[in-house]
Amino acid sequence: MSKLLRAGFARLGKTRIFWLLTSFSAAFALFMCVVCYKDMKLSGETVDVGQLMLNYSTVIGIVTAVFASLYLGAEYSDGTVRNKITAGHKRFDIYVSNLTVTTAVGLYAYVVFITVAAAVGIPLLGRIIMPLPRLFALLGCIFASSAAYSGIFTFITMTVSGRTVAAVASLLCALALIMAALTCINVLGQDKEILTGSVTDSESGKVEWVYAPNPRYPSESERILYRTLVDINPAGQMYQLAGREEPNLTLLPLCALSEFAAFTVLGAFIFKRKDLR
Amino acid sequence: MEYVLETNKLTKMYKQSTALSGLTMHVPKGSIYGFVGRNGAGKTTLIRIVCGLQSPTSGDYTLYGRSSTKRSIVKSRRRVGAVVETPSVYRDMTAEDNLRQQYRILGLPSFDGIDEILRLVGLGDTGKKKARDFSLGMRQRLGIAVALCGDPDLLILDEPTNGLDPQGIVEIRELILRLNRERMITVLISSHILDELSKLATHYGFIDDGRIVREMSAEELNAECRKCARVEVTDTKALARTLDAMGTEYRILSDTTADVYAKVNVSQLTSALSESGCELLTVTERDESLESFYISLVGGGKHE
Repeated sequence: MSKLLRAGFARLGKTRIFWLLTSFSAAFALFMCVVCYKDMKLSGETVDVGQLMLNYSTVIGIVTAVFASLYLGAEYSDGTVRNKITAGHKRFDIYVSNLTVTTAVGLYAYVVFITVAAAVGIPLLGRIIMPLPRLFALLGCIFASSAAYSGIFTFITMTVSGRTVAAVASLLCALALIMAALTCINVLGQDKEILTGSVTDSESGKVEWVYAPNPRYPSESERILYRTLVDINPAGQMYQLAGREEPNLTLLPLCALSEFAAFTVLGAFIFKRKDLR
Repeated sequence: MEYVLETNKLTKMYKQSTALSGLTMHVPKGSIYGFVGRNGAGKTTLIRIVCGLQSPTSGDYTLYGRSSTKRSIVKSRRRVGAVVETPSVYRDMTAEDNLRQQYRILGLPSFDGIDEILRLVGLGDTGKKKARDFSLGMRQRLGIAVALCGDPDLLILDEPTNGLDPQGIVEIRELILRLNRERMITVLISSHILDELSKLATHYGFIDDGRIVREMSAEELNAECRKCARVEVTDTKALARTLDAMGTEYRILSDTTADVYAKVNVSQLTSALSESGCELLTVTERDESLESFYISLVGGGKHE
């Protein structure tokens, strides 16, 4: 396993996709700093650099999907996975080493974002306002969800032979997870009642607002279902951690790490039985 | 004879088709084993199974004395280098980087020997050129170079001359011969071109429809394809005595037929045979080419 890890990490520096990912993470951090700076100048509101550091979490899924499918997919398209098997490595080791590299690169991309966001954001926008223990707890949960993404996209790439198919499937999966998360969050954010009109007392001139039950407000069982879907979906976890909702910092990493483990076991099982070409 | 690879009734079935059906073959140590068969005969499937890329549906094989049913087969695989179908190289790396990567995968302690391997395959001067910019022949040689990392005892090459120009074919052939003679590497090489294999193979395995139809040495093949006269007589014992007396090489095929490996003077032979009470019935000139021998082995009808 250590040989495969050494080879996997050594290969990173030689691949364009790794440097592209590094550049993108840094550029995205710079872009976010500039956008926040403009907003701050226009609105006069203070920007929390800590909050800014959480924003990459909504994008990291797509970044991981692209990286995993192209980097690991090359093992199939270039045929180099055969060299590892012929060299006598176990398929489980090959799977786990690839997963480790993908997970490490996902975390690395986030660290690049945080570093640039802090280096540029603090001088430009001001200090980190949120308490540091909370920021670190949120970042820890984001890293756990990022690992869940790595588990899913390694699973797709290692079980689907072919770089192009893996890339398309991974991207579609990443987008589907984001869309599903946003839809569920939107449903959960519905008000219980909605304003349907107003009645004005002609004598006193007093306006009375008329409310009616919101037909889109989910029932209690529906709320549980949508909440569960958001919590188990890595994109849903990321949106919560980025500040769209108040996150449960115990449940979310638990869900993320369970998914990571489940996809790893399933993926390694399928890869072990897969006929390679 | 010591064998590095022996397969025992290997069968591989896919959903709709059978790629191997009870294939049994023996690759002698130190040989260049030509694995011959038409496209789709099952050559690549067998190579994939031996390399561990696929599992057989039934049957097993032994690689350097270890059975494929044992977990320790991975240790035997470490003695194998392979190029299956296309060269397995990272296209966005240089030749040297590809070899360094394989050294890491094998866990070799240093990168010593990379220059030597690159020189051996004729890629010593490719510098920073990426594999994606290599010609097909160069990529094929790089694939062999990667397979040579870790000093394998068995080299498996799946149609290594496919798509190469004549110059490239000669280069690959000379490389294989050098590896076999200088490094004592046993080579299993598959091809559907028997004529090409005949220039280097020491042993042959003919495969058709997923099973070996015949295994033979190069000497046996040469004897089969030698120019000769097939004679039909009433008594081959008498023929043998006559030919022995004439100092002529021959091979008895049955009680009435034999192959005579010399230009036959029919009247002289007829008169010599009649003295032994034997009658010469027919004489047919035979000049079987490698290809026609192969077709006769596997049956030509289904290839049309």
